Formats: sequence, C-alpha cells, structure tokens
Amino acid sequence: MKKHLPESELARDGRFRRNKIEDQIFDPRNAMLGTRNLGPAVMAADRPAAAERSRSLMHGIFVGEIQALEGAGRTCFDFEQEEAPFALKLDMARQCWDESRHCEISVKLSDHMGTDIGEYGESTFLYAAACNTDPVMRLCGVNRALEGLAIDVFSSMKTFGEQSGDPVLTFCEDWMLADEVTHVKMGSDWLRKLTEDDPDRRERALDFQRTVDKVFSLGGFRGEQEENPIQITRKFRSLAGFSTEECDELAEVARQAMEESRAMVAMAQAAAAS
Amino acid sequence: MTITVTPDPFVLVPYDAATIRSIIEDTAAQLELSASIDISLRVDEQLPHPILATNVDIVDGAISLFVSGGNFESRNKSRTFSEVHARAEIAHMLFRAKDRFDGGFENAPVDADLTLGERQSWDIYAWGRVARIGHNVHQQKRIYDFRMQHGFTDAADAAYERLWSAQTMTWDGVREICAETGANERPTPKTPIDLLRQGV
Repeated sequence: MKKHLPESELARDGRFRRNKIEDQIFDPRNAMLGTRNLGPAVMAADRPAAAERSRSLMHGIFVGEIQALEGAGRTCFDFEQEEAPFALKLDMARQCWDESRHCEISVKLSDHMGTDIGEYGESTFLYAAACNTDPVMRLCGVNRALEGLAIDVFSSMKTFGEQSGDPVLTFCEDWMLADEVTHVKMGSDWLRKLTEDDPDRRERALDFQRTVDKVFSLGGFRGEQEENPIQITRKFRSLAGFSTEECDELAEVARQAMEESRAMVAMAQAAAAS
Repeated sequence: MTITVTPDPFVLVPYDAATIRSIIEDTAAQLELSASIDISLRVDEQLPHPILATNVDIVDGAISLFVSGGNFESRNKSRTFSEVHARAEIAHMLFRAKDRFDGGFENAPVDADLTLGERQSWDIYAWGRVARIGHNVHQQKRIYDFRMQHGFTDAADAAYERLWSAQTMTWDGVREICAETGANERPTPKTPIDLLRQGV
C-alpha cells in the first residue's frame, strides 16, 4: 500500500464532485459580496436563506469528516514506530472510529435537512493539511487547527439548532462536538510529548498551525465578533488543552484574516472603479 | 407579452439572458398566464449559492420578479447555470404571480410585508404545484425550510402536507395555517424579509 497518498488520489464515487480552490478564490463575485448587506452573520432562522446556508455548511462538514477519517487513517500507516509511537497510532485509530461515526451521523443529518450526498462540491483542503510528512505538523494542522475549527463550527451550529427548535441538529452537533474536544486534546498532548526535547520543532509545528488557523478563519468566517458566523469557543478549547494565551492568539489570527479580507475587497473595488 | 431579463448581458456569471427569457416564455404558457401580462425578471448576479432569494410582486399590472443568481446556479459547480434549477424556480415564481392576479392571493401584501411564516406557507403551496407539473423539487428540503419557520412539530408537518397537496389555497388560508402552527406569534425579524432584493 502506498504511503503519503496525495489529495489528488483520494477515492470517491460518482456522487462527489471536487471544487477547484482557484475557482473559489478568483470568483469575480467575491469583491461585490464584501460590500453587500447579507443579513446577520450568525446562523439564525430569520437570516436570509438560513436553511440553504446551513445545508451547504453541514455538507462541507460531512466531506470534512470523510477527509478527517482518511487523514487519521493515514497517520496510523504513513509513519514508522520511531516517528510516531504506537500509542499515537492507537489514538489515531480511535479517531478513525469517531470520524466514521461522524460520517454516519452527518449522512442522517443530511437526510433530515434535505441534502443529497455529493450535492454540493467538495473542497479537499482539510486532507491537504493531513499530507504533511512530519507527524507533529500533521497533528498541529489537523488535530489542533482543523479539529479546533470543528469545535467552533459544531458549537455554533448546536446553538443554531437550539434557537431554531431543531432537536435533530442540536443532538447531532452535541455528540460530534464531544468527540472533537477529545481529538483536539490528542493533538495538544502529542505535540507536547513529541517535541519535549525539541523546541524548534515545536515552534515550526505551531507556525504551521497558525497558518492553517489563518486560512480557515476564511476572512471573517470565524472570530469572536457579532459579524463572524462561527464563534471561537473558548470553553471547549480550554477543555481540549488550549491555554488562554493560545485562544487569544487564535482570536488575533482570525481578526487579522478578517482585516486582510476587507483590504482585498477594497483593493478589488478600487481596481474595478478605475 | 413582453419578457424582460436583466442584466443582459451577464458579466459576473456566464448566464444567458435569452435562455432565461425562453424558459419564462415556456413556463408562462404551461401555467396559462394571460398573454397580455408583461413579465420582468431581475437576476442579482452578485449573489452566489447558497444565498438564495426570490420575490414576486405585481407592479402596474405587470409581473415583477427578483431572483438571486444562486437560485439558478449549479450546486456543485460554481458560476455554472443549472437549467433544472432555473426551470423549477421560474415555475415557482410564476405560480405565485398567478396567485396574486386571480388565484386567491389578490389581497395578499407585497412580498416585503410578508412574515417569514406566511412566505414559507405560500412557498410550499407553490412548490407542491411545481412538483406536480413535473419539475425537480426536493421535498425534504422544502419540509425542512417549512419547519424552520413553523416549528419542528407534528402540527407543522400536518400543515405542510395540507399546503403541499392543496389544489387551491387562499391568502386567508395561509394566515389560518400560520395561526395554527404559531408562526404568526414569532417575533418580527430585525432584517427585512426582502433584504437581498434591496441590494445594499
């Protein structure tokens, strides 16, 4: 079996269609959208197109669960004992079981919300973060950054489920959220353990995590202000081994991502006007 | 009948105004809309999927339609026109326009003044008819949207079934359903219901 499988070789059946990242980045509507009032940022039943926006987001989470399963499975297999101890692989195997269950929960949730599998395009940047050849980087990028994002998304969607009175959404999010806290904690624990005697490696891994965190703050998608649809959840992050300083740093990274996005919109508008 | 589609040409998405005009023409004939009624459709090409919206009003005796570009967009291929979605959405809008003319909704308020519950109820009545004339309508999506405004309850589901299968319905009937499910007791949203049409 091949080690270090690239994202281009992920197996999918005919229902799935992959999005090209460049199509999303260079979509000419992006600059215009930045100037529009699209209603409250936070998910709520009275937000314009609330149902379709939540369906689309939850489908993104579903394909993210598939990729998280693939990434954790790869970490069990890609590394030798000296690079990744057996106990780490055991944690990753447990995560595979959790991610499989999340896929099944997501499929049933999709049925409930009216989404077909593969109906919306799939972006594979989560799996891309799981392709790093250093297991510590991989744990920082996937378990701490992306599973951390999952904590924020699940917590926000659970609140949305409670507010819209949807018991199915609320329970699904709550159950998945509980597992994500464990996954993030695994990342935090193994980061400390594997880099105990190598502060440079730890710093490089944390740098990689900052990069992933910034990319996945998606220009204001996540943050701590009212205008951010997904809220940073400090309570669950602290349960997962994040210090207050790390939460502060993440909030700052998210704020910077939002500012940069605003600057890019302003530049695009200026270019369009000239 | 004059059919106007704006913008023409589209500049942000590769949609074709002539194709959209011809779908409106086909659908208006299928729904037996009077040939003397003019129809204008404004497609907001800035709005992508999943930011969906439609509005239907009668202005000076003509049908005035608004739709987000996202409603006509392929769900899994960005900026790509989906004829299947466009046909269903246009049929849905024209059913509601016909309701406003002579289909029991003559005294309904303009779209901007509907509540979310009223709008959802009317939408389901229209979607049921769109499905019955052979268009692609995802029923589970429609019931989820309805539950979000009327509650995740057996009473809401029963109301949904009545609206979906109704051969005829009136504005007063929609108001009764909103009273039954409690949708009319929900607080008024701070955001205008036609915010996306306002385009600000």
